[in-house]
Amino acid sequence: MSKRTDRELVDAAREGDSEAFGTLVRRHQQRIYRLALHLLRDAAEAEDATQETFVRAYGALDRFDGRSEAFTWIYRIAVNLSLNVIRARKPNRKAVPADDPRLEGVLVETRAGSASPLGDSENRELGRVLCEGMDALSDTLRTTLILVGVDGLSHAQAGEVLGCPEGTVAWRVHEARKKLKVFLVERGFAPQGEEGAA
Amino acid sequence: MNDRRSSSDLGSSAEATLAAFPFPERDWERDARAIEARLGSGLRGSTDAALLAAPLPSEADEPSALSATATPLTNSGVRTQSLAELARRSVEKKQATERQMARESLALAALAAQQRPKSPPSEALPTPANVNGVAAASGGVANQVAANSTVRNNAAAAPAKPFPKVALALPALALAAAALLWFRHPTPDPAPLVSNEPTTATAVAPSAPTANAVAHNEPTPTENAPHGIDPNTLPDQDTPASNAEASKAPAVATAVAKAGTSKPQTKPNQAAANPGSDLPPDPALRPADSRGGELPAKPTTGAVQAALGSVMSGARHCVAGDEAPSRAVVVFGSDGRVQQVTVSGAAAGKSSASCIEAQLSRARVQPFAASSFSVNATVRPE
Repeated sequence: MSKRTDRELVDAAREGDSEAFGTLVRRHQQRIYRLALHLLRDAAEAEDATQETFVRAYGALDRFDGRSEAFTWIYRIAVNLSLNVIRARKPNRKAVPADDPRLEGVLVETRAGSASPLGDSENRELGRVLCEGMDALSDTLRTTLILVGVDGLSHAQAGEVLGCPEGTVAWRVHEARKKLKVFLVERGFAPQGEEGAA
Repeated sequence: MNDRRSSSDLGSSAEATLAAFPFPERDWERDARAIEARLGSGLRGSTDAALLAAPLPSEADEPSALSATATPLTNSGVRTQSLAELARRSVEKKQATERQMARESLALAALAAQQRPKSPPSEALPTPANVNGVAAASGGVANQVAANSTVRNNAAAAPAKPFPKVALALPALALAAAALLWFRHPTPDPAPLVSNEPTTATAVAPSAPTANAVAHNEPTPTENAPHGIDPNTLPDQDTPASNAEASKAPAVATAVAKAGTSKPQTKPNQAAANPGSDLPPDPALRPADSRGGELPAKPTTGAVQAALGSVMSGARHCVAGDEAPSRAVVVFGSDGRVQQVTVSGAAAGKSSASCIEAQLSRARVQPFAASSFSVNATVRPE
């Protein structure tokens, strides 16, 4: 049986097919969780945000008119919920916890012998500094960079999530990278050779 | 160009790290069941509309032109018009303005050409009434210049008598010149809609120069005259009228050259003989910038991202259903086209690998000087 598209699943869920929405949840929950984890830097909060994202999306199914991709629509809800959490906690908490869950994921991946680039301690340190640098960015730049740089969305898709033109996404990614590079250089991670120009 | 590239490149290790943050290990099935358990029938329609709105404010130093093009969102968060539509409208508006200005300016330049001192002034110069007639037909920006021309004509040829043949020939000449300019007007280069430099995005729609602004520039008739008009036929700088006014006709020619062509250095005769012959045959091989064909050593990070981003959606379709991501090494040739795509990871050896290759091969970057440039891409399942 051919795989149902997101649109078909949304249509079915709208008609009351809860199993279809369950399929949608299983298809996108990992990416939503990773997005929330990078935004919130807290595993428990990311789990709550992921759950809440799908619950709210289910509650708004009637308002999804199908002119955008379903996953960018869900992404937007996830970003909004995560930002709400950040805004609510900002006065009390800014520091990154020592056991950063993003790095924990990196280490697990490395131990499993995957193709992760963080194969040695220096690269793990690079990952840590990279996360710190991302945390130093504004919410706007950080969110845009996570969507494009980490999650691999195209500029058009990120523009749909953030409600801004592709050119704005490109500018934000460029600015975020520029600031991230300064942050890395200040901590002794000068950019290495360019990628494989022949 | 290289400065731009180096200003945002994080280095290969950091770039790879950024693009390869893994999914944390969790019991995803348990999480999914927990979500399903919360989906009650009473939830439908309960979601706050604020959660569906655009989430983030603009950056403080974000270029306003980029933000200004933000389009309204529907409840579902869909833009009602695309960036491409905005760019197309902007270019069309600019072209229409330039053409209108070219028509008006050519009509006046043709009038001025009729006022050469070779013929007796009483026969060569049209009456002010004729000038005003053409100027009135032109309207718009030309009115100011036409008024100046009328003043000069009044001063230089007070006893002029009617010359109906000239009056009839002038619109025909102007139309012919405008038609020539129209056909020689180059098709606008397919400027990239997305760039990592804000100024390129705002440069899509520069405001059209007004005749008043251009008239203050120092005219260089031999370089800037409109194609198809011999600069020698234009009035000399030392005509009896005041120098300030006499310079307005070449200034108009400058405005026409700027509005009607993107290559002001082209000699008029060469351009007329071989229209478009100095352009590369394939628009894709033309340099994207307008700085005279100086190619960057390598494509910029933003250009590569934009190129791959535009085809990544299609590549993701190829691996829909896969559990693990696939990786691809994309090699761009110096002409900006993809030379080779090597797929590894989950899709390697499957039919989806050729699908990914086909999709990623559609990516294009601007031409660059190096013989090739390779970049790693991660294709994650949808």
